[in-house]
Amino acid sequence: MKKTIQNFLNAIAPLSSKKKDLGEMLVISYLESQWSNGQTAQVNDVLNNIKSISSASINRKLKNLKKNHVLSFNADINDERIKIISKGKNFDTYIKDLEKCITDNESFFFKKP
Amino acid sequence: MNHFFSKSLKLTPYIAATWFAFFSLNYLITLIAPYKSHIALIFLPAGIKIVFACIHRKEAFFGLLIGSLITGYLFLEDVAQTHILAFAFMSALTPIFSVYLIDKFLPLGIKLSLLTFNKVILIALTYALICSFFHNTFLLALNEINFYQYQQDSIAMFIGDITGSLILLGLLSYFRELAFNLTEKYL
Repeated sequence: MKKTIQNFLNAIAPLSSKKKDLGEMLVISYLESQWSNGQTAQVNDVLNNIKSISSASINRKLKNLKKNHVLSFNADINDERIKIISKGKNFDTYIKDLEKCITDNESFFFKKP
Repeated sequence: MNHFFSKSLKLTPYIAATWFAFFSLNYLITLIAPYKSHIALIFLPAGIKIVFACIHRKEAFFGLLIGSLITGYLFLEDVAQTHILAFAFMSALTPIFSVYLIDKFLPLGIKLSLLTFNKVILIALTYALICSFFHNTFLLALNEINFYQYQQDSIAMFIGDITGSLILLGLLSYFRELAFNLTEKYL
């Protein structure tokens, strides 16, 4: 009975879960590590340092994150061609959503023995 | 057979009580947007029927029947007693029938191990379709409604059942972690 109910609850999970892109999460975690080391992050840094995803995909994800105001891009003072990435107005909400997504699906991610 | 009756008997009070609670809640919602006494444009108890039919299958029948009979007598206005009985039977049978129908073509697995989101939606759609068909065909056959009303009521009932199911299942999905913890603790 317990297993049946849990299987049912797992089946209806997509009704309330928000879509999270693994690539976006990778970009965000890279940026966070740069910022926590006190370094600035440029678009080119992201493109050069994330090897597991193609440049085109990273560009698309960055564009999407910019569109949703998770990140904001500002031109460098000395060279306008260089884009510096900073937190957008929705950055904290995005992180909170991500955290909620994991805690909501805790039973799925971290199965109890 | 004895196992079926003993299990059904145990489940009946809690299924009927849950049905009653959700029907009462829905009754308040329908006061804001009324359509007909036996048709609601948002019918939350439809979701409860899907949940019980999926989890308990045929053992949910008596609970749903008793619940439907109680709410039928208490809440349905201008509906004959024989109609209430027929509605209750259809109300209890259709979700269970939908689950068995889907299970026949797309197996749900032992303990719902093969149940997926798409199958739940398919069960909800099948249930809404069958339920609105039987309810309204019954009334049409008795000449209680004309064909134009039949078409309108069938669509309204289908919409009510499907929206109610999705809202309730969505809410249940939102509070999934709480439900998980409760099942871990009490079952």
